[in-house]
Amino acid sequence: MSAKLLAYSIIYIPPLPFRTIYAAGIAEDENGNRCAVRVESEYFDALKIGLEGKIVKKSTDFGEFNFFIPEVKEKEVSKVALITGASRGIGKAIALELAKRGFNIVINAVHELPDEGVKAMEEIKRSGREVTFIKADVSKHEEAEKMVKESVEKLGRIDVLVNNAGINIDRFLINMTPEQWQKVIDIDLTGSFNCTKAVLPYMIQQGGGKIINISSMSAVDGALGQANYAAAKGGINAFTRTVAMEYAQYNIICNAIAPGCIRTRMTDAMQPGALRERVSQIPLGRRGEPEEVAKLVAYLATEGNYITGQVINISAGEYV
Amino acid sequence: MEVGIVSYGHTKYGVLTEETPELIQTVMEQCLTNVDKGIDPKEIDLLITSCVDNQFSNQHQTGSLAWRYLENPDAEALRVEAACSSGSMAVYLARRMILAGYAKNALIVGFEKMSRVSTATATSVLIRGGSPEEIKLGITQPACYALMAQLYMQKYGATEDDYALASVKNHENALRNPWAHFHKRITVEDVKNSRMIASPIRLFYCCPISDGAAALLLSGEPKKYTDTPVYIKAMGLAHDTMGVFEREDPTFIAASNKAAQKVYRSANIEPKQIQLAEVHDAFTPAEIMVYEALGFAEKGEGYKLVRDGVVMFDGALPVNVSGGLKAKGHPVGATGVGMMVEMFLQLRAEADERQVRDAEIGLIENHGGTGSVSVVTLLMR
Repeated sequence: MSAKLLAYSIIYIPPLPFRTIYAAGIAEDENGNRCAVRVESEYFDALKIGLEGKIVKKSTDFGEFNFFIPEVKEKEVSKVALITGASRGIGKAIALELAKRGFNIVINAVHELPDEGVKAMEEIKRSGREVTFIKADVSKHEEAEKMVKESVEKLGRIDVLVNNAGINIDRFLINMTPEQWQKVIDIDLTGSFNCTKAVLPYMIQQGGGKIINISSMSAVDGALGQANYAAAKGGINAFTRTVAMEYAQYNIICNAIAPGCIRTRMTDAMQPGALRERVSQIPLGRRGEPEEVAKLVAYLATEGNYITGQVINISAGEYV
Repeated sequence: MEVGIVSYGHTKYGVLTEETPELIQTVMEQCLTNVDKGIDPKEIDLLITSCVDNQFSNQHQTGSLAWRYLENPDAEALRVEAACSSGSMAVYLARRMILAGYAKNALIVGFEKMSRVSTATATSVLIRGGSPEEIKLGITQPACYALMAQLYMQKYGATEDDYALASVKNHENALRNPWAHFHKRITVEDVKNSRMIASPIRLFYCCPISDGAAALLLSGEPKKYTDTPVYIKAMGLAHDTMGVFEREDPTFIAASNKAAQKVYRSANIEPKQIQLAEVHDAFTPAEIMVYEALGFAEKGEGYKLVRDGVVMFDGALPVNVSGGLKAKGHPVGATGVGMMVEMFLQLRAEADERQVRDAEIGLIENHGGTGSVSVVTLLMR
């Protein structure tokens, strides 16, 4: 039987034993009968007084409730992913993979787009998805905030944030300057804080979202010459767990991916001998491809709805 | 016979270190000490405690606990619960028992120790005043009021600014009340920028979670104990459906309207004769709806009383000069009793800085749930 929503309220502090946010409302059926209903967060965008839909009794672990299911028009709502540091390497691969999975894409980089970034944008456009480039330094809070605001203005929403932007300045600690330490911390760790903080209000309002942080094997194992990088990535792991705990109630899922030895500019820059030695330690005996990391990100972005607060290794058996 | 209030006790409202027993004992001692002509505890034959939930008080048998402090082994003691209107309900019962000849002097003690539990637990406890359907579904008290507030805005054109202004007014009033939970001036912008709790209800529309206690001494022979009693001229008790969704017009607090009509008829007075009021603003949009229920404004026009300054401290009909539940605080079981204490002081011209000039007739509206029960009280000196 069709019904309409007479009033609704999004409950940001649910009573125990409920943990995640939802809306409650008053719905009226065709016969004028009213009842209290619950509306799931996936419909927050559609909520309005007079919304048409139906009242459905559904069984949950806490008993049987009346749910109001809005009659959302069939027009496809395109989800949006913002990938920081996406002009090349793993970030670019993630942008291309998420576009393939139907996301509209915001590509961020600190500098103008290099040729390969321009090509990636063209490829995304050809696939029929919308794509935009926003130049911003994620280590600066104001720039991160402006980038997120601009992303929402241009593409309407943010469903997935991939905190991928990162640099490394490798030195043994005794030779590392405070500036070199700080710069890596600012971009790799504080950049994730800045972007995550900026997207949270939008994700809360939308009824949820996914945050995927790109960490590293160095976060757990440490790495010679990478005190700054390993510390930043270790921070990312702890940050990931905390964000997951704090925002699960808003249906915001936060995970990290820790790649091992991936074919990027970082590993391309290694001396051939050192690279061979490194690869020989990998059980599967090869470097990973950025596209393989991107597929794991895509899984978390499109599925993986029951995984949060985890650091997932993608390292060909290096860490078991 | 007319029942009069002859004495009071009152703690500060806020997050207090005192536990339930100390809160009860403190206001009882104050109440006995404050009797102008003195009273022997053995003259008090009825004790009624008001508290909403044992999870807050951590104590069953609060009637017996209060009895322990009275020093009258012959007194009878009992407890009353009617959600947020428990305090007024206790007074209602005591007055009826005195009028019916079952008691001569009644001591009423309202209290709540809400800070014993976390905000999440308090939220879960407080919705127990809602309908079984709302409780099961996981609707919170602010969300119930949010539904009413949203419908009211939609129907009558009130704005967030109007609700915010009611919060600003009550915070301003609380600055003059030493017992108030908050002594902080706020602006409309502060309210509108505060955290969303249950849309469109923001944090600064909500009363705080408070500890506190208040006591009253009611007598069938008030002049025996003071030359300046405050008389309870009439009380009205009425009900409505427990669930907001069950109401034909969720923007109208019908129980308060019915209770007020009983009071006006019984005392033969009209709303325009009321000089000041304390009303139930657990969430400030409700204060505006209560104006309409009490007949201070036509349906759909309550918000204009705030806009036009009528209900401000220096307006023609000051409402919640104590700071209201919003800023004075809302230790749920104490609230109704505390409202009566405020009016007792106002009508005896003892309200110091917050004294409303020449106050002679005051009205109190105290409802439970979202208006499933309401007690309206008319007091005169």
